[in-house]
Amino acid sequence: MRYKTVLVHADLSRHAPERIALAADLCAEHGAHLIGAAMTGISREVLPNGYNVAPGSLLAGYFDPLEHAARQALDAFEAIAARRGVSYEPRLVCDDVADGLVLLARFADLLVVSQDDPAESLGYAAPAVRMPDHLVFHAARPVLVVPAAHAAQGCARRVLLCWNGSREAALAMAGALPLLQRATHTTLAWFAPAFPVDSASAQELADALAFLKRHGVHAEPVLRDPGHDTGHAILRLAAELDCDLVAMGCFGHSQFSELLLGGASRTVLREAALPVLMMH
Amino acid sequence: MYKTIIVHVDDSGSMDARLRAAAWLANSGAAHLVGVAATGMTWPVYAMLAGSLAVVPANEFDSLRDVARASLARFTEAARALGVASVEERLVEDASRDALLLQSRYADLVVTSQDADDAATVRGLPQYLALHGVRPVLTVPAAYAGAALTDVVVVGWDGSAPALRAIEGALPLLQGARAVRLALVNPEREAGLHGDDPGADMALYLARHGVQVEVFTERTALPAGEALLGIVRACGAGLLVSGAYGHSRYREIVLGGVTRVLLERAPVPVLFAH
Repeated sequence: MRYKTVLVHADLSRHAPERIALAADLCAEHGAHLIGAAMTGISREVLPNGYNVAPGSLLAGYFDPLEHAARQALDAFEAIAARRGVSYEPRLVCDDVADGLVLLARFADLLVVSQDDPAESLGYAAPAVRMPDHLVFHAARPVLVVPAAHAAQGCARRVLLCWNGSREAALAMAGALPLLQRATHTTLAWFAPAFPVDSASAQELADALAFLKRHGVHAEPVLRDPGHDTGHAILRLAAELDCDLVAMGCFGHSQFSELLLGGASRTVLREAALPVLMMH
Repeated sequence: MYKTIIVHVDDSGSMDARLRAAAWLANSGAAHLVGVAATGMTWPVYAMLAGSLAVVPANEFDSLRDVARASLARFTEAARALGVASVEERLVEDASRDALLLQSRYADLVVTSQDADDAATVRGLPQYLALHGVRPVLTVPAAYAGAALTDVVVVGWDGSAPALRAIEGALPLLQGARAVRLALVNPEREAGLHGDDPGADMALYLARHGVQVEVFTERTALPAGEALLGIVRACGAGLLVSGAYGHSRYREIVLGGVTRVLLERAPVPVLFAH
């Protein structure tokens, strides 16, 4: 499958230009349509029929600046997308950021957002905390998390695909295929705590590699002992192999409204200095 | 395209139809076809039953393997006769559902029979795989005789994540279809999920993937499953695509009504995902 529609979050964060540029580069490479979505931050429970606040009203006093900020974010998005020469469209959504993205992501193949930056204050909006985590669980689509640190431009060529025989890893493998197929180098990293591996696990690894190969992806397997900290082991290996993308499944579950992420996923999402593709 | 397809292999009467569908898919995409037959239980479980409990004869485990191997040999012969170039046999010493669940992780699609009353089939297999697996499941009715799956396809769309994953899983088939009908049953009930123009967003998304759909909206007092089957019959569809719904937290799988109806009574193959 190729990416044909990419959804990127548009806002006034200082990370937005790089995030949007990365999404636009992906679209150029895959021949995909780029949708930039800016949310007002006002839940659709509050304004279910779009932004229809009467001018001059008390509500307008509170909400107009939010709507204005979203429009500004979309103007900036359009400028970047137009410069990259991709097919694009702006969408203004009157909803909470995370909820709005989850609903729109249904009609996209990939969702692009920034890593959380709790230090950044956007003044008018609540700080985005654990938004990538929430999106990975609820969007039913792969999520590309663009690091707060400066990321290399252009599309990923050296990919670290994390695998451990779990169902999450299997999902990540399939979800990352369009990116893997365009990479020059894919490493399948198996962080296994026990060596030598038993024959059943070795067979599974062979099956995973065969599955990828039939889709045109020649992945090189690398086995590592993760020690006590798989998350940091992943990031160390990615640096060692000079990768420009990590693809992994996301462990954990959402209980009520509190997300409980597995340790490795949490570490990677918080600390990665390179783009991460996550699936659940 | 599907490049690796898993098909459940056993001795039941529905095996023939199941293999026809799997072979059709494998041939249309030059895919590798893997037949998976299970002994039905692992050796430790067998040993426990044959040992202190003496529920089964002590030296019959080999015959479980032999039966599975014989099924696999028949499968390979039949698959080659149907023109499949790349065929593989897998014998797994485990319960069928667990065997298929694991094997399906390294495939694009799993093919099983419909959940029927036939004593030889594994009850609950398709729904277990659809709800707990990571790949789409194609359930094939016993009466399936080899008709093309990419003539007219009906896609059930209700705005939900399971339906979304089913559409994603069915994409190679939708792209090759002569006609695709996106069917929305009583969409007002999920107005929040659908927005102003139910189906329009999905139609546009699919158009970018090269799939032209016709949106059908049906308002009916019938349950959704029955309504979908009615649409399938009315369009002469050869394939239905639907999300699978259930409560996977519970030990005993309690299915949504739509899924049960489709799993038991669809007259055509159904592609499920959760």
